[in-house]
Amino acid sequence: MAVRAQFENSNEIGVFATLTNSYSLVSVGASENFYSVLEAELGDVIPICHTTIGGTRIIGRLTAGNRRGLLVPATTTDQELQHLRNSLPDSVRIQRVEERLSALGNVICCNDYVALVHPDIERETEELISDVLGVEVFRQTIADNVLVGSYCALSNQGGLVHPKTSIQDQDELSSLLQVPLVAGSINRGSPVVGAGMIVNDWLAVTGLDTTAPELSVVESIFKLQDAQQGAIVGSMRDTLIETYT
Amino acid sequence: MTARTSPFYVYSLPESLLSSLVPISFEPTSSAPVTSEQQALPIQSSLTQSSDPLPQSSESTSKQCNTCNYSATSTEEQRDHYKSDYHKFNVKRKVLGLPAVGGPEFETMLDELEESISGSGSDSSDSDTDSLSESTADKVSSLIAKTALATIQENADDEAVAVRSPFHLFQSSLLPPEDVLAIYSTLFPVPEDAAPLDVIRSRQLAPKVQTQAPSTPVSAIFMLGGGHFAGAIISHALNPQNKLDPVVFVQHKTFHRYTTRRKQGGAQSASDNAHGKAHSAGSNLRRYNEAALEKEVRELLAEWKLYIDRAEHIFVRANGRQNRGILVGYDGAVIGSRDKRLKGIPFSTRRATGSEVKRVWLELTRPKIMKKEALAPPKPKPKLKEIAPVTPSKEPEPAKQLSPEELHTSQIIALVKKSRTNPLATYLKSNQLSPDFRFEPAEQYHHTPTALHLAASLSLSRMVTFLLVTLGASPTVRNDEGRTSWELSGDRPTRDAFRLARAELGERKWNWAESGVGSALTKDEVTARVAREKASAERERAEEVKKLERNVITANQNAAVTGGRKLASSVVTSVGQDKQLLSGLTPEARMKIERERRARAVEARLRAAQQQKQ
Repeated sequence: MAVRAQFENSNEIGVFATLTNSYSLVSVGASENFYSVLEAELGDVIPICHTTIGGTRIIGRLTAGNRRGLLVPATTTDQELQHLRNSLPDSVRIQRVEERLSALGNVICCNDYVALVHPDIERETEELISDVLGVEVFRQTIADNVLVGSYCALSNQGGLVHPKTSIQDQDELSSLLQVPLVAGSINRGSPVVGAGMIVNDWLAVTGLDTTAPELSVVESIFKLQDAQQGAIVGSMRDTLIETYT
Repeated sequence: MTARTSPFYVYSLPESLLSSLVPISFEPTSSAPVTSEQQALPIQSSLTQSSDPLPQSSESTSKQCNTCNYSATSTEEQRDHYKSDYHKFNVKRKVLGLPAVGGPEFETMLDELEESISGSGSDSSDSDTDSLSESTADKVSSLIAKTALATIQENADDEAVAVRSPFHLFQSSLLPPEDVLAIYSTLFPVPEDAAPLDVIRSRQLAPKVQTQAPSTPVSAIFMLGGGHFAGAIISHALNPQNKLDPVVFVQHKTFHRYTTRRKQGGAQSASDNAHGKAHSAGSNLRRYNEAALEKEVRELLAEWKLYIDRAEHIFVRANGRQNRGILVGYDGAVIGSRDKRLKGIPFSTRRATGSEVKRVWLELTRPKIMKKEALAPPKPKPKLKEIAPVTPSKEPEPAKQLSPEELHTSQIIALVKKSRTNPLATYLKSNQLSPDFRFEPAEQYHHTPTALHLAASLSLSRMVTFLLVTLGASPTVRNDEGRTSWELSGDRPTRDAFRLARAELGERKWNWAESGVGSALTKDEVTARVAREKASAERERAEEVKKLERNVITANQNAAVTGGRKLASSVVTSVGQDKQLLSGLTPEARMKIERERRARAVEARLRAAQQQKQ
């Protein structure tokens, strides 16, 4: 299921929220519209936690997490950390990371099995990532961008990368991640796919500006359609996805 | 760039030299291809490498690492590769915009780094203790750091090369093959219609030219800065008689006005613009002087208009828009800002003076002889490998072998200087040295050959007592100048130490007369003397205070007699009240307070007088 939503007139959903298979984080907004959209989709499945990180609302860019854990930057206050621990399931490990590159959401892109990280990330952080999130960590770039978290949206089903990623790079990355990848845009042509949407294995939320083709690419690559729709898209596959591993 | 000035003069070069000159072009374009070729090589090699796998892509695209141009046979191998330092290094290079390095290349780079680390001494011990994996990761980061630094430097070098040379260069068969003749480009017309060589030929002066004749070409030099102005119209013909000062001024003028803010620097107008107008007397002066300087300079330029109009070059050194605006391009300016003859001076100059103008002219017109190597594009900075062997050579030179005497000397001197009495005794005892041990080398310690001399000259009275009384050092030893330690003692406590020692040791112990030590002194005598001196000092002080008070009283009386205002009287009489306070102060401090009080009194009187007038 892919839905469109706005966070206080901003289409960059991925900036203000984090979504994983076991929990979701939403920043505190003036209105509850965005939260309502998420709650309608996830309310009885996974916990949705209202929080700030270091007093800011850009929690999607500051945190990185998956089913097993959540990494928060050093700016996170003790109170916020405690609130997160109280709200999230006990199975989720929460770890504060002392890393110079503090916008963890921008420098880490992960699903439940692999993570791509910024090439300059510290070795200790790399160890923490593989430890807390239980993933294999690869230092990579996406279309020559070091901010892998900003330019890649990843789930266990598939991934959407920067529209200018070359075919070879897509091949390489998809063989590394072991999921199909597609190069595409979000929010009516924005290349920052990581910041423009949130995704887990059964739900994607994109900005309100996202066009229908963009949304259908999202649905197909993240395998979010219902069965009969899947059949249609299966036939459209060749037109939508150039390569597929 | 190494250059020496040649004996030639641009406007009268020897005919033989002139005919042999061949221009060599040294423009950025000539050096650029070299660097780009060098850079192109690795790119090409990487291209050839990468062009191979492309056809294979149908078989095993997924096992290919695009960053390193590495193709793995199995998925495990591929994933291992992605975790390797080699891959991480290449990813970082990619981010920096550098071509990827091959596997063997990476190994050699690592080895080189290892060498340089082990060569640098202190670091090696730390890195050895680290675990192997950790140290390789550190190596990768340091390798990256160094590469990044190297690229920055390379880029900086490229920029340096791209700067246009200030010279036109000429080869000549008369010069050694490695030398070239360099003439400042500013001497050639800006749009180069004619070949530089033709320009030089056409500007050569006739053999017997009159320096002051109106037909002789002239150039103008104007220098302005910091309130100093120097301007001259210079004849192209040099004065052949005067070898030391050959420059011929047709006209010249220098003047100076006080315009720059002392100690703060910068022009007054600049300060006014930045911080608003200052209202001090100095700022007004400077503002006036700036205007006056501008007026004078422009009047001078107008006066010299005839010369300036026929000048071949106009060299202007005026830093900043304001200075330049004084000389060039104002309303009705003699020198238009778009004048083709208008040129800067392509080297740094000193304060604008007449002699500096002469130096500038000679510097401009004397061709330089340069080494060709200096002109070649700068070689790439020495890489890690070249740096590595340098570091171990910096080891401290083997210490000079010191004789045991010299070692003792340095030890004893250190102990004496620190006044460490007991350690000194132990040291002398353990090394079985006499307290009159003579320092080595003798020529270095001719003034203070013994510990006692040293202690006396440093006025270490406690040390002197210790040496004389406890260790039994002889006061009769003389240094190379024939002086005993007593004669070196700088102050009274040291001399007292000698005299006390004389009393304590008794007259028999040494030939005191020979040592020159003053008469024996006991402790009681010293204390008595100190007490006496204290008393007399106090008496003096008291007398002084009394005298002061008396002066004040008489002054007051005088004032009363003359009927003057006694407004300050309250201040003055307070002297008496604070007598106790004052008596505790040194005479200087008291004088100071007194002076301040008087000044306050005068101020009060003046104020009162003014009020009276109103």
